[in-house]
Amino acid sequence: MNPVHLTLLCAAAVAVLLYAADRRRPMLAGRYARLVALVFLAAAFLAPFAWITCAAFKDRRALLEYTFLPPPSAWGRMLNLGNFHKLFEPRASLQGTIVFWQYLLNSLFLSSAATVIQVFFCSLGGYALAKFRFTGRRDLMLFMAGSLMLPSMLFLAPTYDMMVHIGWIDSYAALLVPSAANAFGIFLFRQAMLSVPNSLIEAARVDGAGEFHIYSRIVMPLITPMTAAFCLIVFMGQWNTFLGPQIFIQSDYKLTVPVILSQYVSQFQEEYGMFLAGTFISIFPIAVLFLTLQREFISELTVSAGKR
Amino acid sequence: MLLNYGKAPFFILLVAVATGIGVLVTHRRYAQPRPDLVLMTHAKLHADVYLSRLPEFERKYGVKVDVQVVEEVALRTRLLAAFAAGTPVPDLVEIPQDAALFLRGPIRDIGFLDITRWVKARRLDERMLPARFSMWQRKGVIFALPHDVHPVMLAYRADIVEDQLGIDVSKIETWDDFAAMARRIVRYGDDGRPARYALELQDDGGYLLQALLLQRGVGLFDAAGDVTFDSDVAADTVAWAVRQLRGPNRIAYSLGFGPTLWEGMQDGLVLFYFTPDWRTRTIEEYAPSLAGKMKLMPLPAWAPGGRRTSTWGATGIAATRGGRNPELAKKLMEFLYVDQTDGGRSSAELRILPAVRAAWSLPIFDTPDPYFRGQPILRLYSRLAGDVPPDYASPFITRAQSKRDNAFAAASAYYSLHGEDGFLDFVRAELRRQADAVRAVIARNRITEQ
Amino acid sequence: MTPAVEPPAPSRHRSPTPRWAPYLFVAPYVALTLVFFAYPFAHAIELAFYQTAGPNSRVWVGLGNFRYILTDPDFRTAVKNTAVFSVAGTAIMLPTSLGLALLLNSGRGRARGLFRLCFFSPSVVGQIFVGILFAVVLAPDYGLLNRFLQALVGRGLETRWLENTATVMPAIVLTNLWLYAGFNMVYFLAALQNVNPDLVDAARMDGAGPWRVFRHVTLPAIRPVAIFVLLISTIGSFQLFELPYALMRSTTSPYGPDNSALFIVGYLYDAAFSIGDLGLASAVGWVLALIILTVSLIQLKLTGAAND
Repeated sequence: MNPVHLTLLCAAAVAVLLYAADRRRPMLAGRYARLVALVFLAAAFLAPFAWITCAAFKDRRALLEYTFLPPPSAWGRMLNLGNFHKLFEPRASLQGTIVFWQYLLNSLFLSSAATVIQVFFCSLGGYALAKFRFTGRRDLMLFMAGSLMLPSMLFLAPTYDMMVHIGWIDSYAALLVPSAANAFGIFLFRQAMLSVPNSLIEAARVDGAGEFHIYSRIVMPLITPMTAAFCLIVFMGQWNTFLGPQIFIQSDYKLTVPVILSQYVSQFQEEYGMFLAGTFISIFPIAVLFLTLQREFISELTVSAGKR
Repeated sequence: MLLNYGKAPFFILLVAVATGIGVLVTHRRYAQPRPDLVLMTHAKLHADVYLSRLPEFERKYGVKVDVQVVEEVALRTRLLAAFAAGTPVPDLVEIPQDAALFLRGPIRDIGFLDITRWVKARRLDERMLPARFSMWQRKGVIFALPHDVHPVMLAYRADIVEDQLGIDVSKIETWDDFAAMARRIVRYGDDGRPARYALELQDDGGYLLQALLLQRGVGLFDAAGDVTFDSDVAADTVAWAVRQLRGPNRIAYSLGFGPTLWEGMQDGLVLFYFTPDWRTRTIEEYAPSLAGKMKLMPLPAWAPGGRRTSTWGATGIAATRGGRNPELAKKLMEFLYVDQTDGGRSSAELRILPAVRAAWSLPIFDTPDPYFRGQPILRLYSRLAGDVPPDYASPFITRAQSKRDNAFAAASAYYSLHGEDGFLDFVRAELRRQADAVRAVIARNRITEQ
Repeated sequence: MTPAVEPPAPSRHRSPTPRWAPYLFVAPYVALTLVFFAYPFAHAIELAFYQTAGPNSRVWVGLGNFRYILTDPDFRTAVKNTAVFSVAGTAIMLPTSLGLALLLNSGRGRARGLFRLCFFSPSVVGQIFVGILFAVVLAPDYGLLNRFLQALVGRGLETRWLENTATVMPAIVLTNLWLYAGFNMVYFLAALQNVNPDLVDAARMDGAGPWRVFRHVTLPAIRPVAIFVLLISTIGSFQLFELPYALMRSTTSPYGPDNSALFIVGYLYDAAFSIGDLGLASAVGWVLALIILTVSLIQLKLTGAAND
């Protein structure tokens, strides 16, 4: 009788008891069954996270011996911060020794910079598409919709070529500039701005306000939830992005967290301990941001889905 | 004013500014003046060893050399991009075998320096094992120096095989002997699941299949660059391997190469492992609990008196055409790969036998290794080193490898369904089909073969 | 909340809005698109008719690249795999996320928010991390999933998910499910708000069982969102690259045994960075773009979704 069977048996036993206790109100058993199902599913979804957490603290060599944690008697021996020590050890490279903090700093910078840049430029485009009628509007939107369907990989090779000619290889500009104003963001902002009443805008115009003033002082403050949601999306996306930095960044010290961690696990280098410790750490900033913004994010997702 | 966008973007803006300053400050630290030579390698272990030996070279020539470690896949991508776009390249690159893909295209366009004349002038093609140059040349033009020989032996759990089961491995001379022995020791647990296997193999073919094939002299390509992995010998080998993995008398198991391998090794799930010289170091590091329990033996031959070793893996060092100082680069290549100024200590530490034949008799290689029950492992490897088979390079090496593995996977699937019924014919046909696919790619590329 | 309003027609009396205002606002997008999208696009058009090897060698091959692609069995495998993943993955993803939403919907308050967070959290982790992580989770003999299966039903410990051609696709579908089921669940949760509770009560009082209520009341109400999720899932499945790339990273064949993890973007990546022929890569890009746009158009037509 292993732990899994034991748990199932207990859950089933409680269900039977509840049903037997009050046969007139099977609702209680139904609600209980629902709860049990949710708990099991949540456990299934969270299991890999639990595994990462345990694995990050396990001695590298005992990684797979115990599924999650060894018995408490072995904790002193097998649980330690060894993986983290190794992760933060200075590494020799061409340009000097690098510490893991550097990669965290790089990732933080790229993610936050990308967020700020894209919020600004995409909201500009969204405002134009939402509140103006101009020739070429329909065609532009059609083009943008079409471009959303194509994978970015399509342009990787010619884009690389181009970056070389501009001289942006090994520079963060190659990662930040091309997507500064992207169709996805523009559509998102447009969606949100459509609900801003035109009367407000007209009134401001009559008062002699400039367009940029209207955009920044009147419209943007009204859609802060969507802006927050967009921030989360961009930050998360940029934090986890792998292919772009891997291809465009050449210098070791400019790399981001996903790229450097993926280097620890390849065919003959299998530093799973370091990889897992790094993954464990890298989830934190995202998790914090997510927890802070989750309400806006989910409500905006909800609203935009409801509008379809 | 900035709060018009909301609290979240404002906060993130603060973070962006703060980290931006941080990035500017910290990155400036790294932009040091370029040294005289830059060596890029994919192997951190090698880099550590080189870093310790470099001061001697730097003193001798009054230059500054730096070593950069870049992971294999990233290295390949960067080199490809750099060669294609003409961006700055490192002066020297230590490359794994599949970097032969850079040998594509007209000779004049290959990004590596042609060192044929230099090699012949310094007689390096005789001083180093000639067979090793097979990986680093194309149409008679040599592009890199071989780093190693990598003879393959079998490492085995002596505590189980010899102590517990009382088997005398010196009596095993051919793979038939081995299979007969193995069938007797394969064991299943009470629940019908396997508890002990004899040999390590891979479910998807891979390196281990390649080692078996090379042992029989069957590589992916021949010296002229034609595809050769669909010969009858190859089919026979593939069939043999599939039978050991899937047959009624199976003796082999696939543990993979990650954490599962080390767990399985320490649990005694598999007893014999294909071990080139470099793998002894990995084994010692990742399976420390087996210290004093392992030993090495030569590979069983396919026919009595046949070759008792193979090869697995190869690293070479090449100078790039875009490098600044080719003469100095060549001197460094020779220093690191040919000269044994430290009496072979770095080779012994890396557990890698150098390609220079004269070095094989260095006394340091006689050091007994307590992990392997006191066997002088590098001495054992050096005895087999001369026998190591050639493995010819081609720009299509990765494609050929994956096609051959496809054939193996298909053969395995067929065997699971149909057993021996028409099996060998299927294997032959499948190998031919996959080989033809590679030939089609090569034929298509004749256009740039000037 | 005011409903979405289309931009107003130009008003009769003097409007201070400059005509060029909207153009200025979309200028960043247009400029960036021209430089980083249109130019590489055009360059790729030209390049597709050449074969390249290195910076200097270019040979005109006319339609040779296209002929090679269309007769290459690997390309057919890639298309087949992508199609299978698209159909099977979506067919599993939609009911799962809908099911999760239904389970969660009848809850309230804090518990509901907590579970919602649990199910959503996997999407926070980057694809590259998830791929490498799941390669260990799916490992035979010692991996988390196999150990669980063994404890549950007494077999499955040795399943080599990533080494058998038959199990690679299920493994990828499973990993993708873990990643995004929670994300799509949020969309469905929103959609379920649209279900009119009066209708549900009316149906119940007519004696309809839960299944009939679902089919005739719930489903029609969530249809628009379901179509939306279907569309974005399909588009996403065509872009699949990092996940299988990361999953197969620690095995010898980067595209799985017998190319079972080769998808069309992977085929493109292979042409560009493994063969190194930028001409071929450009040609592949073209064929891909054509396929994706065709499928998207068909899907749009079939589902009758009127996109803005």
